Amino acid sequence: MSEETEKYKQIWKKFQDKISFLKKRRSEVLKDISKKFDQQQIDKIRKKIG
Amino acid sequence: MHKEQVIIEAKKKPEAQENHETSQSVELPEDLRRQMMSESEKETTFFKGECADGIAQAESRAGKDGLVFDGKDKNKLESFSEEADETKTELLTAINGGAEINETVVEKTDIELNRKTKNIREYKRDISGVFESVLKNKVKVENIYTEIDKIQLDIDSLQVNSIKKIFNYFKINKLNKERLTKEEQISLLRKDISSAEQLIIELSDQIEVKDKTEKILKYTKDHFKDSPEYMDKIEKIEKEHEMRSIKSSIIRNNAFIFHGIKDKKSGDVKEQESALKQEVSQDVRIKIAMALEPSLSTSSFRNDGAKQRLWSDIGLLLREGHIDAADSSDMHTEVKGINDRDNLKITTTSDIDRIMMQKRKTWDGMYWYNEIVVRNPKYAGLCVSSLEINKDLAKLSEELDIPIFFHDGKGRVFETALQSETNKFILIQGREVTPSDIANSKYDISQEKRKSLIQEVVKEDIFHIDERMKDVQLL
Repeated sequence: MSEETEKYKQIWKKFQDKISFLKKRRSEVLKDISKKFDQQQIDKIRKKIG
Repeated sequence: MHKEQVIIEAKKKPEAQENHETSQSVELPEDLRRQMMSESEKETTFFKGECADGIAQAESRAGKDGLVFDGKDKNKLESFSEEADETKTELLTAINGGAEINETVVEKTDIELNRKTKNIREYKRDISGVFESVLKNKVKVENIYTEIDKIQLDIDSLQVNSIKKIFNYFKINKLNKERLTKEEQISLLRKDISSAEQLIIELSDQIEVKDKTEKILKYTKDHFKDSPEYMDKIEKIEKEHEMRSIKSSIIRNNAFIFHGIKDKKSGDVKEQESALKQEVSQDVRIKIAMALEPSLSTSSFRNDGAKQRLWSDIGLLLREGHIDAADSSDMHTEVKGINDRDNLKITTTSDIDRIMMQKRKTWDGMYWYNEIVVRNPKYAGLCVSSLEINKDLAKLSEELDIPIFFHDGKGRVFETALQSETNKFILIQGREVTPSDIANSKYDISQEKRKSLIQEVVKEDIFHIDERMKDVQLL
């Protein structure tokens, strides 16, 4: 494996890691949004019941 | 260029493997560089598409359900797209040595990609498949929201039904209570009506008897006034009637006639012996005797210094009435109606006198009580055998303004005066009275008081008069 190939490999890995990190953060934000929505709906139901 | 097989390891990133098949065989570094450029572009585009899709879904749900989509969250999702672009730019800068990424390179890369790697149209088809899947999931989400809406409706409905049930429960319960109260009222009213009707019958009969007796006597006198024989008979009848009166009897025999009224402590009255229910209190029994003047079972005693046993320690002294029957011992007469008793022995006037004068000693040296049945009684006052009386009796005495006499247990009777102390009611013994004093007593309750007593006792469920009462023959 040439140095250039190794370099590309490292760059690609770094890219993939960053994208994975972004995906993970996006997933967390989406979960958080979903939780917030659920909580809002629960609050609405409670308000109706209570 | 050194030809070498390179495998881009992306096993730790399955989404990249699945969607973009990054594990490709690349022979040269240049090929690898081009593939990285292409792959990074796809990866970034796909990631940005997912971010945009996430924002769209969130906005859709927020709009549909009236929820608040936090702007900060939206900004975060948008910033991820920018970061992905920056990451891609970093990669391109790194692999191009800081050179600008020109369109030629990109175009060349695309041509190479089309040739050596998976065709872009295939990716589009793949992406299209993913979006289809997303759309399907959106439909599922929509369905789930529909279900949630249904659940919410069910909750609302259940809540409403529960409230209705609770409301109905209380409403029905209240109505049931009202119904029960009404039913109880009806039951009490029916009892009142029954007692009142019975009383009306009895009183009507009493009036009818008097009317009939008077009419018969008048008729007899009118038709037989010219016949000395029948007139003698009528005179005898009238004399007999006079002889059987209480007034005449007690003066003639120098005896008191006493109607004992038991309280609960001194023992229950047998049902067949009284028209009243066993639980009726002593003071109510006295009121009834005063108000209705019913046929009574009484006893006589004389002032002869002997110990005298009476049926009860408390009762009424009679001043007037008509003696239907008498016996030297308890006849155990049974009530047949308010104005009639059964098991009466046929008694002549001489029998009455003999019985009232007779002393019947018992095993313990006391004199046993006789039984004299009296119709239409009238009273001189209450008679007690203790100088301390209970509160009810004291209250009754004041209410009816009736005298209280004291009987010493040996045949002597005294006037008394009531002295009320705290929770104590003492009788101060006064002068001794004779049977003649009692016979000439002027005491009587007024018609108004009698009427109010009748109304008072009729409201109570006190009579146990049964079917026998319907066949009462008063004459």
